[in-house]
Amino acid sequence: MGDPTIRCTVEDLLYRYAEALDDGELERWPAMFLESGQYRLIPRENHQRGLPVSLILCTSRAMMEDRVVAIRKACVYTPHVCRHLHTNVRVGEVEAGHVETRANYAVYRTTEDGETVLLSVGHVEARVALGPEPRFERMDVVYETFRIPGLLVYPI
Amino acid sequence: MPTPSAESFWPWPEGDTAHVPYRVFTDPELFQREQERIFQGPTWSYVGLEAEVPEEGCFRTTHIGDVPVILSRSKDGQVHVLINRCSHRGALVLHEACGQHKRFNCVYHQWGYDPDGTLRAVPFKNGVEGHGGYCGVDMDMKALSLRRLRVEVLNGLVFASFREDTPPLREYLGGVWPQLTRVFDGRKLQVLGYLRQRVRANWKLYFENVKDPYHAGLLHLFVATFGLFRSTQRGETLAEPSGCGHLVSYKGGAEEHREEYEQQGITTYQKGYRLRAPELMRKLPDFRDDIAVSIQTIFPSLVIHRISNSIATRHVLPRDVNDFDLIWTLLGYADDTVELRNQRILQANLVGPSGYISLEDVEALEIVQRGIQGERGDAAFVALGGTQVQYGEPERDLANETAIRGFWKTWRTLMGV
Repeated sequence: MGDPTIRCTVEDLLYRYAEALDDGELERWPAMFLESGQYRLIPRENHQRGLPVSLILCTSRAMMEDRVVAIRKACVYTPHVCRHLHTNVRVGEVEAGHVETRANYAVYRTTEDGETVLLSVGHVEARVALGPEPRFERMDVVYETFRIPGLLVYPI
Repeated sequence: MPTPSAESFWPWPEGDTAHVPYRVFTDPELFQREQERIFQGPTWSYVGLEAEVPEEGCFRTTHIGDVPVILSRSKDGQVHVLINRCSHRGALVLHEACGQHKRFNCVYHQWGYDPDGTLRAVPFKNGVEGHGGYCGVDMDMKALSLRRLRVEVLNGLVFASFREDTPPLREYLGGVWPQLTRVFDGRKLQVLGYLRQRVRANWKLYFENVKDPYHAGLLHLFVATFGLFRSTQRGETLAEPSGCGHLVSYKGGAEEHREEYEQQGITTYQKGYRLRAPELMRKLPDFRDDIAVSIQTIFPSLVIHRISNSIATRHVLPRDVNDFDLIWTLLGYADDTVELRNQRILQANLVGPSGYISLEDVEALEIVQRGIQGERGDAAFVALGGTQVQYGEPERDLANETAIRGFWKTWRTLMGV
């Protein structure tokens, strides 16, 4: 089950992460990772078969910042907002200030005409560096909805 | 008083190459006709990779048009494309996405087939205690095998055709063959992963898109910014009578015409834009040529790309008149160095449903499909670079729609429209 205090810390981090993305404050997203942090958004079919290709792969915080700039300045897409629901949060044992965590998620996408669709369902496997300001050292988002409806702009 | 209606382009005036009536993207009857005339017509449809069915009994299920098919490998090492429909009562014989079985058994009544489609097992064939079964029924086991389509394999790519009169693949590909065999040169391929998306647009809009150099440097800010593709760059487009074609841009000269972009105030060129992690755009030595982007289309179901170090097949699967699936199979070679393999994996960021240079293609297609609803004989205007159709001889600039016009001529011929 893991230490409830640690679980609270991780939940809080996940919720703040979701809030940044849902409130359109994309610029806050990279800052939730260590500078050397890694982010992967990987389809479940690849993950299951050990295939390395991800939909989004950032091997450093700098790469996440590039993604944010590209979304803001380079990419063309119909305006929409996303809403993350994180649940089933679990944490492992703390080792040297780090903890492995797991959670389920669902993300809905709403366009300007008010239509909401389920964009993605899956789970998160992350390693969190604890401390006064906890951050993600690594996050793998494994998405089950691997036939994406249209395109996927924002990270999950 | 109603506003005067525009000239109607439907029925499509004969010999009009400058217009494409929107009806071709919205009419369910045309979609049905495409199944018969195109997907089951004299064309080669991509089915998958040999590397995806490496051993005896390995299979993948997919579609050609709306027909479910199986890609399989038999004991003798041959690959086969079979219609995935039990000869007994029509059920899918295989309903998993992929796997490996020595015998393909239909779950409904356990009819069993070899991986080459031969019918081997029929339960209670001789009835029960002399009653029932197929005793006294003229049952030709051979004729009840799964229908096997004509197959051609080109350096790992598997194509199938419903028809015997489809020209041989090499001839069908025409001038696309030399470019295609640069990537598919016989080296052993390695699948690095899959990306999939459902696009809410007619499937032909995608074929137009990959034959359209005009949009590439205007819509895709990212490629324009990094000199991968600008309309002022050296490049070429090619259309073949089969509907196949290619679109290539060369790296040399990418910087020369920068000012033409800036003078025209085109927003897709951003001055001073730098990546904080430039390793994403690093191109490792790969092919010995000057090509920045190379896109081959093999009508009616495949697009191949080479963008920097990223290589992939893009499988186009029409679902209905308003929808198609796009499946990206990202590839490398089995003998790639670890560094090159990792660069291909990293550059998957450029392509697919979230790709820096492919995300907006789907956006563009979807807004076209939305924009043409309610059309009454209106048409797209495709006269960039003239109205001529040119087969087999490339256009050596990137400001034309010649390959699109060629594509539509092919489609009209096949469809009898």
